[in-house]
Amino acid sequence: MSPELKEAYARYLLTLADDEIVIGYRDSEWTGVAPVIEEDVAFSSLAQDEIGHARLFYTLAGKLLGKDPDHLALLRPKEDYYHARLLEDRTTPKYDPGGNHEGGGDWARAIARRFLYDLFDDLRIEGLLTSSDPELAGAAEKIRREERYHLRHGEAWWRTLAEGSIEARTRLEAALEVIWPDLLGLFEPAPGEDRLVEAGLIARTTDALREPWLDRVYPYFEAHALPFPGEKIREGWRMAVEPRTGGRHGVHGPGWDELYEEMTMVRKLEPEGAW
Amino acid sequence: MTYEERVEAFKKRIKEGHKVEATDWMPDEYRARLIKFIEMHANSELMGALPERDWILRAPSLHRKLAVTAKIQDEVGHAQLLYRLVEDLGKPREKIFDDLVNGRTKFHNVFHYPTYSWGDVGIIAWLVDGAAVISQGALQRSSYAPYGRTMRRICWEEAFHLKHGEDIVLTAMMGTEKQKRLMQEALERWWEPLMMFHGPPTPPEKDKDLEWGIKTKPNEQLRQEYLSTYVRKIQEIGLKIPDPKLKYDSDKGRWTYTEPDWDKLYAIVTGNGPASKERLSFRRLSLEETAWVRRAILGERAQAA
Amino acid sequence: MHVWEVFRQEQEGEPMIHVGSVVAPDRERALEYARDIYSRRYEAYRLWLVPREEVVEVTDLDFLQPPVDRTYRMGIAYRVTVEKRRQIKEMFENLAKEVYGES
Repeated sequence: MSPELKEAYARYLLTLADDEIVIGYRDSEWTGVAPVIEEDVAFSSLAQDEIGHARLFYTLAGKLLGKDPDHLALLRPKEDYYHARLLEDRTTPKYDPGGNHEGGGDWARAIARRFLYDLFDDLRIEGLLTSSDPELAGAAEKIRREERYHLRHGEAWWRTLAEGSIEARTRLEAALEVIWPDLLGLFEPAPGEDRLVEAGLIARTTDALREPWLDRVYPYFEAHALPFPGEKIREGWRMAVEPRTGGRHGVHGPGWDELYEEMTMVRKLEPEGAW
Repeated sequence: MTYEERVEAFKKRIKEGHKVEATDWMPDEYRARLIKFIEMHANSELMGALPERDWILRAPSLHRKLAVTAKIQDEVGHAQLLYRLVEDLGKPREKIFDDLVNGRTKFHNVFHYPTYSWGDVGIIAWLVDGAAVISQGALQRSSYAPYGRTMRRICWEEAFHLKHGEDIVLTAMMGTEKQKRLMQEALERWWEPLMMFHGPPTPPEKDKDLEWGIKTKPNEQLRQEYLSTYVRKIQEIGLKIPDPKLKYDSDKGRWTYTEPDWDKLYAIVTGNGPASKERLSFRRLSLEETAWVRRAILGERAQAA
Repeated sequence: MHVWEVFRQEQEGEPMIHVGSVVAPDRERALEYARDIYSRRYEAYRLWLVPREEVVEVTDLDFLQPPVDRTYRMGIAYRVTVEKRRQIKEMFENLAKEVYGES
């Protein structure tokens, strides 16, 4: 592997891992506070699955970079994380002892983000099944088997939110409106993805997933007459929303500042120590 | 048979070691005591998720992150198992939560305290869960069979929590001075709540839950078993237990210790502990903020019907 | 919300054992919740979910353990075989003594 290819591949693996770890961390915050106790337990399993997937990708990246997976997960500088911006905000309600609960999320946002991200991730993982790196192909195969259940979970909740009550539907629509720019930001490619396609490491660049993703998500909006900010014309989907990008280059928002601070605080007490 | 005769026959059967199932006839007092006892246990599992939950995001490695999340998930899972028992005994879930957040029902003393460091995570998983296993182990033989069966499952899972907690503590005790200090300070914070864990030494003959066979061992016996199991394990890894009076009296065959302030325990479990108000208002907020989801589920069902 | 009773087979070929119940809005989520509540640590080889209202319970002891003697179906009724065997053996020994005399 040439140094340029190796660099691009490591960067891509870190991008995959960062996406998974960030949504896994944010969704694990629902442990203990989900709407129904049974769901609490189920949603926590989904979050743990994502962290498990992140661990697989960090391990692969670690082999290329000669670094320990924990090191990659918890000890990089804040601006060297490449996850999509969609994933970094909290979705749990914010609790402030002073009574200021502004700035938190809700279950509608958690479900909308997770389900639409899972549909993206499913397409992305599909493109790794035929990777020329057998370890990546093997990881993708295992991950895909778990993600099937995530999609089933997402579909059930999507329906409940869209059809359960006016209130739920209003919340779902409001959440979607907030996240649309970030949803389109998912398709920002990592640097050097073209090289990876040439080398057969991945089947498609991330931006090439946009059209198939829009084709795939549209029916879920149509089925429940949910507003969809775009239309399909001859050349493809024309969206009325500008994507918000930057995540793949380490540009993030306050949600990431807060999460990074929390996730690294204990480890940074003794960065090289055993924990 | 009159009601009183039925009750006497029921008590006799329990004394003979017979078990009661959810759909069996049972005296009103037995049902009421079961609900109160199991509901407090369930509330404790649910409220117990909160102090540790703050550390889900902060765990210092991927393995710890997964293990802490799984552990707290287990606690919520235990709450589910126990709330199902309470629901089957006739108290609906909405009423259970309403009573909890309005302070009409209790949860265990150890969950009324704040957490300050990763040391608390290790000490809670090892020693608080360790104390819970001692009492839950005894509950496996409860006269109420669904509760006993649930305890068998819960104890099985708690065994993983103990290992996880002990490993966190041992790893830190092999680490730097800073790491060791985290554990020693946490032990000092938790020792008093741990000594209160099994409750005041109520004389067995006055303990109604013992009489009905809902629980099977008196409080002081549980505390003695706890000390016999853990004191040495704590001391031999270099941690110092903050009670100068703690020692094993071999003449009497029992541990002696500084008597906890039982009035303080009562104050804590009735909502006046250092973190009681915050925990309850957090729980209230999380229930309020998700109420619309439960309404949506009911709405969807109504539509389907 | 509906209650489903959950039965678990822990290993292939073993019986389905009742392990508890879940509350869920629909069948899909009931399945998911049952997996996450009753098999987080690979405890299940197979799960059965049964809507609670479909469970028929029988606890009538007069029906399940009828009071009139049914021991003729049980091993206990045939403990006499040991004694019978002893008597037959003795019979044959006595016959042999008659034919061949004491030796």
